[in-house]
Amino acid sequence: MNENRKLKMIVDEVEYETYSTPSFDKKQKWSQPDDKIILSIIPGTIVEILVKEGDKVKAGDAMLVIEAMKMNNKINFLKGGIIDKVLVKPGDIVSKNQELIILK
Amino acid sequence: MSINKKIEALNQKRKEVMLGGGEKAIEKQKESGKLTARERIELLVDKGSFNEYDLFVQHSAREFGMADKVLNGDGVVIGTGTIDGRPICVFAQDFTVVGGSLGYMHAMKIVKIQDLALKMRVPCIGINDSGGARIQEGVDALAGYGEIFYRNTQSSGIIPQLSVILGPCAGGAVYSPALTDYVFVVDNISKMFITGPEVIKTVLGEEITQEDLGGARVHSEITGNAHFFANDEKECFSQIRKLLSFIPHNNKDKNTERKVEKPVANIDINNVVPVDPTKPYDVRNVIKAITDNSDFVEVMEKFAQNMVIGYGRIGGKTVGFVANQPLYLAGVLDVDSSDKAARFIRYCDAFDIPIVTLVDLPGYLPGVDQEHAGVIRHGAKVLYAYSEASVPKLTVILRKAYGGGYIAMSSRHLKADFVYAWPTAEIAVMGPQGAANIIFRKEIAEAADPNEMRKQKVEEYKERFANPYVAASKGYVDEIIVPDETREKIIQALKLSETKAKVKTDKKHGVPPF
Repeated sequence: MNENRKLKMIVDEVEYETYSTPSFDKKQKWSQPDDKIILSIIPGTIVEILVKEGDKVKAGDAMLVIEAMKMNNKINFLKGGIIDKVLVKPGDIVSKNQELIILK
Repeated sequence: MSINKKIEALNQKRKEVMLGGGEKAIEKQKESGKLTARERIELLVDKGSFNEYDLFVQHSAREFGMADKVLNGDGVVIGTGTIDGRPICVFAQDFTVVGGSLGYMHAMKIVKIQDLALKMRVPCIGINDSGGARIQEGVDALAGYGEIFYRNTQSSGIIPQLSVILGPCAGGAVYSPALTDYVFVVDNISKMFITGPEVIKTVLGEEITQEDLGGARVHSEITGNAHFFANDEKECFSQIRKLLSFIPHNNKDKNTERKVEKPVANIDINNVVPVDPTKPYDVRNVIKAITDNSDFVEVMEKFAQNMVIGYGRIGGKTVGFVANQPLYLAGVLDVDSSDKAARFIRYCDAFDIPIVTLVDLPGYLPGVDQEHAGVIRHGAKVLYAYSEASVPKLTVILRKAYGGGYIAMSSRHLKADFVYAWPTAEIAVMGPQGAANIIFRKEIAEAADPNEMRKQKVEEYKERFANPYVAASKGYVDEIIVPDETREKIIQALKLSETKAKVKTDKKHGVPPF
């Protein structure tokens, strides 16, 4: 066995000596989502940005338009606030969960 | 025309059509490291046993200038042959003919061999090497796929269906293999995905190679779409022949019994499993110590390695093994290993293959990712599959069997027919540390030296409960056995199980947590 893949696994307070698997290596550590950072819910291309830094927005306001799978998707704010930073511009290709806008 | 002339003409026609896409295309196929469709079939079946059907079928497309085109065999070879003298049906897509693309008549050839396999109750083996739907044929190509998928589903549980991915298999085409029982892949040759790298790049801006997206390793290790991985095509076909020598060729086939052979591996079964439940070992050594010839055909060897599944013979009879693997992730049940085991159990049940379950697990894998990935519904599949299975179910508890994991792994309560435990077995509600911390919380907290008290209480708990005797005292375990008695006990139990009653119910089918 490859000693680099050695793993200590704790189940019900018991520590087991064992080895890792490829899927286990790929798992990502979970962290509390930050609702000030707005992430892309779909991958696609930014078509239009409807807000700018300093704007005051409320829940339901339109944020930007993303083209994905040949559809223009208008994305709205789920929560209000003041725009701190806009991290993307029209033409950018964004992946899922990429940071788009940061609220103050 | 004389008969000799007619025979000559036939042979000439055969020769022409069998050239597929022509010498140039064949050369290209070879350059990419692949064999041709007919060479593949030759490697699969017994020498000289292949009968090719529909050699002269032509495509039916009329649009886009297709009417005048001649596509030999319409890009697929179908027929029958034998493997170890037993008949099988086979189709092999011919990539040299317009990239093995699937048109309506191509699909109808596949459908013909699927129908024959189901009617004759023989295994159906599909060799996939195709660029996908023949776009010129439009909706007829889609109709073709649909007809194939329908037959895959109708045949499921009656005949074994094997898919061999020896080239691209993209888009809708992937769903026929996904519906079949066993998918074989070969390193650097197999490529399977719904949308290829080009589409992913233009739509999503993500760059990935075909190999990293859906190569043989990815499907063997990460996705779990493939069941057997081979380094080359030759190895792949010998894997298929070997698998078919173990499993029944239809759901009523009783011709799987072979001469009894003793295990040959040099393994001292009494000393395979460390007494300390936190130490790893390879459970496949237990399997090899009890199977005829120490032969074991492992299914999904590289996926969810914390669970081992596969076939072996004990006393001449084929059994399906489901075993926790302490070597990986301590043998826990998680989303992938539950899924892997549950489908295998259902396969064994459908084909009347007795199930031997080897238990050694601490429970379910803890973690946010597991909970969010749905370990509840995936874990439930194991409970469902074992509860539903009416084949003989034999359980051997090797070492730890804690909590929900104990219940799930073919326990008496899910109606295992025979439950054995080794003296190293620990059948308990949870590991001793966790249990002692809960039960003796107050004593530990109030002690002058809580750590010392905790240690003492854990030892006390271990002494009383970390053994097979508590479960045996309630009849949850039938026999506590010495490891080296295991093979003989299983042989006896399999003999007794041959006449196991089949209970009929009036339900159409259950609703498993798919």
